[in-house]
Amino acid sequence: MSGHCQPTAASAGVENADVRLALVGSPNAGKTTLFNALTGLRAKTGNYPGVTVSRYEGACEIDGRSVVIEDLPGSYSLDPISPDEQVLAEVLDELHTDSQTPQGLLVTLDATTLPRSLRMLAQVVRTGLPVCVVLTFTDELTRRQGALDESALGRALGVPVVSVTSGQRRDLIALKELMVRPESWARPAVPPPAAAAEVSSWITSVLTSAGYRLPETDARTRRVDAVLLHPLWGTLVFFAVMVAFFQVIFTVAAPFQSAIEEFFAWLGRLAGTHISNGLVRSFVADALLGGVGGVLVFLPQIVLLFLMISLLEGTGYMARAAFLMDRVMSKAGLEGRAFVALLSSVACAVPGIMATRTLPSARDRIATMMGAPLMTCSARLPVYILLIGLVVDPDAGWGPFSAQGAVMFGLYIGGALSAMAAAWVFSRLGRSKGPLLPFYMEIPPYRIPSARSVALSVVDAAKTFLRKVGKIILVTTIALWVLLNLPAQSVADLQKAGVDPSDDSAVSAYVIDHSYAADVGHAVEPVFEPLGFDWRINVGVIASLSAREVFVATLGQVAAAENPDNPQTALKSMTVADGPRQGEPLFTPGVVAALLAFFLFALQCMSTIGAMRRESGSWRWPAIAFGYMFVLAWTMAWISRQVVEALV
Amino acid sequence: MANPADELTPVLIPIHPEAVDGDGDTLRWAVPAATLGLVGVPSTVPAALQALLDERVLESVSIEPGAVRTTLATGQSWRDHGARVRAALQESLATPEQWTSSGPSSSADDLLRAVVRQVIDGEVGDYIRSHGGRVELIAVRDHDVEVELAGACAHCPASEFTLTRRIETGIRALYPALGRVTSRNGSEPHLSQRVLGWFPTRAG
Repeated sequence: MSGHCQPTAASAGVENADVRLALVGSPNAGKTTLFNALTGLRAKTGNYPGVTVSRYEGACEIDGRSVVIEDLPGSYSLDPISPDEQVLAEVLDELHTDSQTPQGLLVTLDATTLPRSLRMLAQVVRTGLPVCVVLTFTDELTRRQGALDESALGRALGVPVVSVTSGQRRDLIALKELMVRPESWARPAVPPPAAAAEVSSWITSVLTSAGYRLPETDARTRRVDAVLLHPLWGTLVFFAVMVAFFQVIFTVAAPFQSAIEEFFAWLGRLAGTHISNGLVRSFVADALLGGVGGVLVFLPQIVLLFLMISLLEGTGYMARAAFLMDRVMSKAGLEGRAFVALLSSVACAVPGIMATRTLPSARDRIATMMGAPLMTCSARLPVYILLIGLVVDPDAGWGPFSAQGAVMFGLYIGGALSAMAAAWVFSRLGRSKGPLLPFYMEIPPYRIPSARSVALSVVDAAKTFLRKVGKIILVTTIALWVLLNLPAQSVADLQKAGVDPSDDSAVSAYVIDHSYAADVGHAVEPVFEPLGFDWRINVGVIASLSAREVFVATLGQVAAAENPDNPQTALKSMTVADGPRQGEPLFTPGVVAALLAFFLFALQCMSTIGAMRRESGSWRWPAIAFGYMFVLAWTMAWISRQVVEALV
Repeated sequence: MANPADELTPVLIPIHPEAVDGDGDTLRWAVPAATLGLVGVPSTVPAALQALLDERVLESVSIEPGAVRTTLATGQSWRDHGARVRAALQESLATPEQWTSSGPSSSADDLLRAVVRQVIDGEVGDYIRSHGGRVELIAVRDHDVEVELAGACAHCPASEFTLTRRIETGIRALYPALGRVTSRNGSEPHLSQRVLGWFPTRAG
């Protein structure tokens, strides 16, 4: 048996594959692990026609035949309630011609939760397509004193049953043999029943025949959960975990960050000494190294953030956090599933908004979508770190807790509370109350996260971040550099203005102050003046509408132009260029507080707006979100400035 | 987690069909042990099932321990009638007193005898045979079973285990009223066997 897999882009070809299979299973049933194991992590993503449920396809070559596998959205049933389930129902429906019907279905069933998952299997088998059951977590079933006779299960179900544990290669051999010939799979003479009572009868009978014994709750899991799911202790632990979370982001990342900083400073010095052309030098040193480099410095934090999120997810703590927060969410008029969407938004609002698809009610979907962008996403992280660094002493703190970490924690809490408040308001506004649908959430046993999946999610996050830096941020930075350095000033102009043409710093400061970007910054001054922003911050804020990190890149460019050796000091000592506060320090605690508040509330992210447009189906909701968040951001920034200035 | 729909609908007797090797017209419906107190071909069945026999949808119905076999009449298909057979069987199992047998094999002992044969011929017997042993049914009497262990089993120190753990469990699953299982050459277990018995087993 030879079976090797390859990416779809290769000769196999998705359209003219020999065999076309689809993976079906409930969430957490190991479907994606199996998909990755079969297709070698190289999936092609796309969308289903009409909806934006992502579609994953991978190819695999077995015995010279190409097999295409489609990873269908995870679902607990085929009843088309949510968009995810709708897609599933349509793909499995041979009469539905929009989507290509697979020749066979691989159904992953978590052996530890068989009584529930057989309900969906009954529906899947009833579609009439050939079905092969892939049992997962059989090792865990045995470990937790459960029992199951796989061959008896196969006889009772009337379909082939193979067991695959965590996508291990040796388990895949039997599966791959079956995969090439779905037409030969056994099919039950009489399909499972449809009526609820008959299905229950069928499930009980099948499980009895298969000698199924439910696994015991893991004793350790039970003891740990007695504390972690406790209304009081559990909530305290949750907050302690979150505090530690943000402390780690600051303290552990620091050495890596300074190493990257030093590297870019070294590159900057290199550029300064080796590039003779002034314009090229300015482009390389200010735009590329100052701007893009300034954002890259935050790579360690992004990596740490995702490392910790994937650890929390992998150990099973995240599901508990969602369970604890379900109570809080119900106060906001939402269900626990909405918390999962909001929690994903801590990484990025885009997957958070996409996660709203699991919400069956349109009202809840919109309400969650309106709140999700307020969660502190990873793009805000560089901005927050930069701004906090400007006013909070890195050495200040209480014992092991740094003041910087505490401020950061406060910002995350602030984001979460406002996200929930926004969701509450929007769920109140959309009055039509649909039927209350049951909320299923799996509380998995505590597991040691697999190094492979943790590494995968960290590498993925780093790649996405670098791609973003390489595309949106690089392009915006270059555009900004052009706007900041044009029009070019002649020597005569400089002399007329009283600037010494041989003093590089003075010249670049003068050029920037009289650039097109400065004109734009000045033009919007009336809007931001009450917040204490000068034209340079304004340019940064406007540029950050494309992506929040660009704000850091902009300030980096401006600072690098003034003091290429130490942009951080240049930022700290920056003074207000003109207006009534001319000559005073620019980044006062009040202004920084206003900026932090502004970034907390404003919707400065084109990707989020795009995702909202796709998920809600019109420009109406993104427009409303952008509008309300801008007004909120401005107001909160103004209040923050007043409060901080009154206190300091 | 309970599905609200489950609470409103009546609980039905758990059944499911299994294919019979080499006979596509026959389905073996697993039914809970001791639902029907008889084995063999029943002389009367409840109306729902009888209707299928009368309409020549089904050729025959027979009962074995833990299962009911239904065989299609010629020219019929499971695709057309599967759901109806299921519903009729489900309904008929709710009234076990309407299944009767006029033939000689209608006593409880006969049922128990059929159960023991099925266990000996099935997986448990396969296991014993794979170890070079042989089991034979000697007698059934008032829910008690006597068997003879022969071949490699006769003097095997583990035979007592094999008896209690495997045969008895197998029989009891299909005949819950089972009393004791004894073997003809069975004696008081050796000390070593009793010591072994203190250890937990997976089945326990």
